Amino acid sequence: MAEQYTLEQNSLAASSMNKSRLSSFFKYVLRNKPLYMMLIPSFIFFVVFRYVPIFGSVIAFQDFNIFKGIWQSDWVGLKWFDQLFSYPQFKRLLVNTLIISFYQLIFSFPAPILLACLLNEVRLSIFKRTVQTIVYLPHFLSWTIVFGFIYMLLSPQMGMVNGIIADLGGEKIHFLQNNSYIRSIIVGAGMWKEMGWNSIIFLAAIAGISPSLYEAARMDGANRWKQFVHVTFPGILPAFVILLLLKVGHVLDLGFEQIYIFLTPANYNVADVLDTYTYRAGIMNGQYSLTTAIGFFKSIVGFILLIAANQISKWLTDEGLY
Amino acid sequence: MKKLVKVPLLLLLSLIFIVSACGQGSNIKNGNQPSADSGSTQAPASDQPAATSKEPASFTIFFSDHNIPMPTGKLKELDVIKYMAEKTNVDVNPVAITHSGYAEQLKLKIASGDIPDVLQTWGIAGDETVASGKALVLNDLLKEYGPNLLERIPQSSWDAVTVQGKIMGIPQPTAAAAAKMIFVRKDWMDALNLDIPKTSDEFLDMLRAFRDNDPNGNKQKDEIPFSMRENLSWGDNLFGMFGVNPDSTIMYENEMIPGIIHPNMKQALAFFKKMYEEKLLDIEFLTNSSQIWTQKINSDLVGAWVHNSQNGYHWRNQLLEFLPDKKTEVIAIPTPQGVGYEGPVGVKETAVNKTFIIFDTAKNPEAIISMYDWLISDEGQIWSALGLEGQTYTKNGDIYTYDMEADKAKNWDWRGAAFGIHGFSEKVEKARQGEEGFQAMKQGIDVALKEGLPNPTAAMPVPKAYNDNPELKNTGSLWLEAATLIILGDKPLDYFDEFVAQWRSQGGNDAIKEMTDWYNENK
Repeated sequence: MAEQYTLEQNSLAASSMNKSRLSSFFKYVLRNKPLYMMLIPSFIFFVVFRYVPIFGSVIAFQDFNIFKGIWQSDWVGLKWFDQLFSYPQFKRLLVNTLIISFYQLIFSFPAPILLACLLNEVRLSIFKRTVQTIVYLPHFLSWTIVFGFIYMLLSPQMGMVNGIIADLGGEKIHFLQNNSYIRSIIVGAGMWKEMGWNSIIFLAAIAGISPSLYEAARMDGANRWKQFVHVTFPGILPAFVILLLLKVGHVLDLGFEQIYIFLTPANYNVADVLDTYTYRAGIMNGQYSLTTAIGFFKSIVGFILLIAANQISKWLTDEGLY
Repeated sequence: MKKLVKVPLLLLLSLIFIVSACGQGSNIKNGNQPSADSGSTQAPASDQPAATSKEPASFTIFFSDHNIPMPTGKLKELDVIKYMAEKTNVDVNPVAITHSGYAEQLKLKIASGDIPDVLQTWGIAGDETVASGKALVLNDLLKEYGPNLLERIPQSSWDAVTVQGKIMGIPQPTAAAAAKMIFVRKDWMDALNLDIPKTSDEFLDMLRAFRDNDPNGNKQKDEIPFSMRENLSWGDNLFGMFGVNPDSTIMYENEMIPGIIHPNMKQALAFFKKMYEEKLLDIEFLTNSSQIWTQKINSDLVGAWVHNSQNGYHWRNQLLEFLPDKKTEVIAIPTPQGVGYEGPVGVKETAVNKTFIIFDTAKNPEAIISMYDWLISDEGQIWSALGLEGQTYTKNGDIYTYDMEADKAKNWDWRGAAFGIHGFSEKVEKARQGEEGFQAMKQGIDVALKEGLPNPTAAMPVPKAYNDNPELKNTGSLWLEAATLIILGDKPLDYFDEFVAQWRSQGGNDAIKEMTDWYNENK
């Protein structure tokens, strides 16, 4: 079957040599019909759910009214961007967003890589698999439940941690209401929840490294650490770079829920971010245009950062997204 | 290959999601709408048909079905409606409109010329009929044909539907205008020999006693004297000791200002600050979700809290269930008077559940009013809440036994949505809650009836300044943050003045101007 296919392909390719590239392209597509048909669903998915909604962004330039709809709403130009940038707490929102994002980048992002590498060194397969399963379970919990756990750990009234502190004779600490802890708790909770899940891709990357490389390294007398430095690490570098670039593109997206569950009026000062403001303004108060403008702003910043980071990465490591 | 399987799967999932999301949409309830069971039902009274000898006056009512399953066929053919129509000598045609999208469907119907005589709505603030001058002014008609209505519906409910002295609709009152009360563990008070506090200082003393004297008797200092919930919610009556609520409005120095910037609010915040300092306020008041809050109360930890006035029966049942070994008792106490403040206390009065607006094109407005007048009589209330004797309830002397199952099975239980005009009714609630549950409910309502803050802007639409900058609202970050920081002691009390200045400069002055203008035009 495969042979037949190739033969046919060759003969067709030969006969179409003189025709234009376009028609040869269509012929090629036609010939590989089954494969292209399988592509259709994902194509539709991206058009319907990723590209069409982009046009909805025009409401950032309108005074959008849900009763009037996109077509009848009045155009207001850059009013909402104006309002956003002149919002008195805008600087605080942006600074908080960037700080928490930065924490995530230096703590949450490398954590799964570390975990994957550690798991990779575990010899006992059953132990490895058990640990792997346990660490990725939290991914399936909702943030509300995660908050419940954290509350039960840290509450000064019924929390375990404060129970231990009190038993040791210390003063109970109100972690969830203390502004010096809240960012660490937010980032830490995110790390605990997603670390195991995110390590899967790195485990796959490690598994993809050819065993012959390790063999060769061992022949040359490399110990496990040297094998890690010279084989494993370079092996996962492409995956690392790609994910890092994507993460940089999302530097202003922190994940709304993760922050919102910890947010109280007492810690707006350090934890109120663009995403939570969007929720308050858009969902609770119906400021659809304003929040679309925020989303638009975030996308543009993300896009610029992504392009820049990609160029830098290509220049430094020859790895990039495209 | 895996990916190729995944994508159609994703598509399928998205489709399912979309479909289910649409399905949910139809269940969304209007926040303003009272649930049909909560006492909105009503029965026509029997006595005084407007004109017994005349032909029955015919008219149409559009009403929301409040998500109650509706019977098929004409509603006016049902026995239960026929009974009422006969009693009041009307030929009424109730037309149910699905609750989701009620406003849009109404607009469509009216735009296509299908205009009812009576329209059910909630508050009149956003109502287009009133705004466009289509609503009949009822002052004179009510005097003539609605003496029971005028007598039994409290003035505050009438005020909420009155614009410039013109009554624009018939309001269904809430059980008590002061919708929230302070609930206290009476058994704790008895154990410590405490009296009901009359002033804010006595209230603090009571909380201090709760804190220090182990009223729950577990030999641990784990009592939480007063608990409330995230975003400073469910603390309203404590603000109300000083005559302000975060969501109230009040006339001050010729301006209509929100409670959050009133000078008395500073006193209220000082009070909260003191409570927090002395550990009388739940130190987790910023993070308490409704579940955690409920759990704390049910675990015998909390001495006082704020909840809906009629919910005494609810807490009674909860504590009986969770603390069966203790002789628990919960009472609502009158909001204590803030020391250094004279004037009304409690929470902002909300006077209206539903409102029935009569169109100026209605041919028989007097018959319509007579019908509602009958509906608010004792007999009418029993009819709308309990249905027909022998079919959905039985009467033994003065004891009514309601058969909810039968009412539902007959598909009659929607009638309150169109004909419910009474608020809290003793007979009805007794039949529904049982004697002891009713007493617990009644106690809170009785207390609530004696207090409350006037709400001068009840009929006012939301000011545009609030829509432009929602952060100005009492749910916005400006107020919440300032108040929280003051209570926690992160900022001095005088930071309040800074907050007020900031609030005014960030658009608050526009909101005040809008509200003041509205008030002056419509008072």
